[in-house]
Amino acid sequence: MPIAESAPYYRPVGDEVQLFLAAYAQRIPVLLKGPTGCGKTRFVEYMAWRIARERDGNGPDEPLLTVTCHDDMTASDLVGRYLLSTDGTSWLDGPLTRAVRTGAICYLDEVVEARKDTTVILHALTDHRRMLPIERLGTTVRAHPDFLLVVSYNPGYQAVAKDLKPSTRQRFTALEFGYPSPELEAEIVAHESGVDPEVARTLAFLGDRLRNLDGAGIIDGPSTRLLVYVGQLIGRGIPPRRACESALVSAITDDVDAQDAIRDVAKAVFDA
Amino acid sequence: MRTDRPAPEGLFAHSHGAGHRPPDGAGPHRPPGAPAGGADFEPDRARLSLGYRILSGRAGQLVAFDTSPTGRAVPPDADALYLPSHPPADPHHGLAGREWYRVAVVHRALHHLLGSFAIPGDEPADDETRHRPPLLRFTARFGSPALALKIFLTLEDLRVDAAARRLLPGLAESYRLACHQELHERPPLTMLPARDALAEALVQFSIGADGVVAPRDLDPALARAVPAARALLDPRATVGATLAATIRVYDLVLGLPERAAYRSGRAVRFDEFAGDAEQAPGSPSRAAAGPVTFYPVAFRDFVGESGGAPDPESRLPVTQPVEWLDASTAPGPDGPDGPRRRRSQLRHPPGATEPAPAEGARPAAVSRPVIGPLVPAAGVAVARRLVPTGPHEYVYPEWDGVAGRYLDGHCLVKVARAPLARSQHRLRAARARHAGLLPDLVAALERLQPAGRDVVRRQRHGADVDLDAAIEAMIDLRSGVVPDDRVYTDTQQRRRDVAVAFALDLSASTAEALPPDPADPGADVTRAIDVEREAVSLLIQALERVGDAYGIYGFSGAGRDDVRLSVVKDLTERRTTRTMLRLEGLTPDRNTRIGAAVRFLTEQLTRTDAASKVLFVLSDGRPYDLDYGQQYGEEVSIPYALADTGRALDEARRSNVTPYLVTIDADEADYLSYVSDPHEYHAIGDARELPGALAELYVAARASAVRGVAAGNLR
Repeated sequence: MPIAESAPYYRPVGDEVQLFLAAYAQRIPVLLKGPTGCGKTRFVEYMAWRIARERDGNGPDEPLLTVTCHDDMTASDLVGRYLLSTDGTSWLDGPLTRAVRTGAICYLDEVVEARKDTTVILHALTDHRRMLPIERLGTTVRAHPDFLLVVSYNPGYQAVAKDLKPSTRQRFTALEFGYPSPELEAEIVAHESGVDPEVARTLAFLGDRLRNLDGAGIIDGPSTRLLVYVGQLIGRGIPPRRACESALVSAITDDVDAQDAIRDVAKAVFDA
Repeated sequence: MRTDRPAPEGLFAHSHGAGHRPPDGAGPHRPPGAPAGGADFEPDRARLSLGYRILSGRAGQLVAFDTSPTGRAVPPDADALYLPSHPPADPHHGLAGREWYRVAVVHRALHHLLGSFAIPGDEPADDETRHRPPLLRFTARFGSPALALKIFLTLEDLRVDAAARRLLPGLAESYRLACHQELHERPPLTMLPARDALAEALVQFSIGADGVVAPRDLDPALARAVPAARALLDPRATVGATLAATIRVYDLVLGLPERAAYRSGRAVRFDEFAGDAEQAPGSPSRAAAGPVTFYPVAFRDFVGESGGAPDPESRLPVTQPVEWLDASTAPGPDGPDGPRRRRSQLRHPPGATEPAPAEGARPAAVSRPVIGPLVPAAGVAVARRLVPTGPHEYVYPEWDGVAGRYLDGHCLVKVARAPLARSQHRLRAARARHAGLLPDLVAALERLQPAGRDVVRRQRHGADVDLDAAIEAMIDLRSGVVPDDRVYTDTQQRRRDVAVAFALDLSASTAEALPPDPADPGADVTRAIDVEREAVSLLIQALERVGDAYGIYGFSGAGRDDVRLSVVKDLTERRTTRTMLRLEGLTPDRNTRIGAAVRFLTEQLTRTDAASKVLFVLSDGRPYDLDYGQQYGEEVSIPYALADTGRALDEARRSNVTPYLVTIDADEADYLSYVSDPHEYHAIGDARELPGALAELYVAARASAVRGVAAGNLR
């Protein structure tokens, strides 16, 4: 992703910015943990922009390379592979290799989804060696001094059946993310959706209350992202109750009783 | 054994049957043991409870206080929400009963959201008071704590309901109607003693009255009490403001005479008393007062046993959970007419010579005893052969152990989708309860992965170039033909080659309540069907993670022509969200004809191409059905049913399906042990141990299957 002119919108919740900058200064890999839609990816985008600005044009064209991990992903998807063309075969660097060579930040989103034989290639990059072996080329690439690896995952969703191996986890410093306070979330929803501040406050109140069901394991979320979607629909003239029905009630669960209860509360906080 | 007509591939691939209709009175909403025709809020129980949790962040359980005076057992970590079984009749104002209950539940939830019980600045004075709830420590500082509590609750109700209208504008109209309804039933102030009249005026102010007809001698007190109460309508008012107002109003009440006398009254509007609230006295008055009556507001108050007067403590989270029902009167399996009592009379099958295995123990390797004495078959009419009449009906034979021959076309298995439950709350809670078992289970199963990886050619993505495919692609390129892009090789782990079917006993006996868990007396009443579901639910998560193919079925029956097979998830289907809703929707239904169910599922398993095929049968007792041996007399029905079950299990083994029988009946004599191989039979003494036990059994079964596959590969 090339550097943007203006900073991606991000409102700090705690000291995560300072912690990330300190980790970056030491090139300590960073692990972001938090529920879906709470701002992890936006945070990385913001930090990548900020670091690129501080390098004042001396950094790579793409300061941030993002990979969404999944369980079909192979090491080749990260490192690179040979391609065929009319002239024969040619090697194409994968996103991880490009970041390692150019000194960008490589962000692996939902890293626990990747197979363990894929994540093990990160080990040499995330300790004192900072190197990436590429078997297919028979070479080892030393990481650019500015390279940083950032990974993320959602511990609530995946914790029971999937987890990082301890040998992988303990190569990172971790930042815990959660949903923002209702006051801050109202600001975020208002900014991102363009909806009236009063409506944004109501949405933040609704989201905060509904997360009581998340705490009881009945639903996941709702995420800040989902509240922004509702706000965007309201901003386009959809009545609030209808917007909640579409972007919140139906999206968040298929459990009929939970849908009814969420619908009741959404109808109570909005009178239209 | 072959059926008369082969089952089509992919059952329900193109149909979405509604499944079996649950018996009358049963259903996924109805709590275990709840009588038919219960409280009006029963259909909305789950919805209202979830709504309470959303707003308050706390678990709540609705209790119909007027029909169960000793109370429904409430878990210690849940709030009891005492509500009338029928809402007040409202022929004039159009507030539906469902909306009335919503207002009542929302009111209770908002007390917690707004911190009614988080008393600020409260410091326990001594060890004696330390264990009391903060609110009661506050009211104990008054001369009459009960009066102070009633004043506090009335004022706090005012603050909470005002906040409810602000925070929940969508509910404002329902609130208004509920309050308007209350105002029509209030006692006249002129008929009340002065202190009661002031209390009633405050109550009416709190439910939105514009004014009252009040005796003139009440004016000075109203002029000071109403502003104190009005201050609580301010959005910035906290519970601290209510505490200060309580101190002020308590003094005002003490300043009024106690005697009762009719006085003439005049209509006053509350907004005539417009002044600011006075500064509250520094500390509560220690002067005592006689009883003062605060007449209840139906949507706020639990009308307790005190003849209609409110019992405020019952609305607070300070009360202990309701006393559990006396076990001797509980309508459970241990009652005088309980099924277990009747079944204990059948503890030993006639003629059996072997003692029953110890509870919970795997039986020793004993030779299978003769089931008898058997009645000669002379004089028994030949049953007619059955014929399938629909697309999901299959006919199977049955082994007649008395005659020593198969009865062809004897059983009709009807296959249908299990009904969908509305929610999977119970299973979610169960998964959370057993979450600790899952990581070890997954790890154990992953360690049983078939060793090695297979190279897969001609892939679109992969680590290496597939040379053959690449050469062909180059040739195509140079020939001007669009090449195939599958030019890579990849490695994949060897496929897990196991298919397992879980058959859950759905006979009516699985609806019987299990004995209370002594370790958790407040837990919801649990039945055998619930434990079966929980056990399978836990295993599903692990199987999804490691990739074993599995199917989940429920079986029951009402005669040989009505053997019911409910499909939660077929062997070839992918799991969806509906899978869990169907598992939750399985409903106990009549009898247990195990033989026919085993034959059907054996056939399903043999249709898979898995190297190992496993059948788990979860049951709570012996096989039994209406005509399962009764043609030879009732005393022969048990050995007949066991013989057919044993023969069906033998047929499964000959078809390379390994059957495992798990029974969760602690009282019975392990009937199924007589017809199973010892290592395939497991008795679970405490049904609540089934989830963990089934997980262990599956790992063992899986390990055995892997060894078998490996041995086959080496040959």
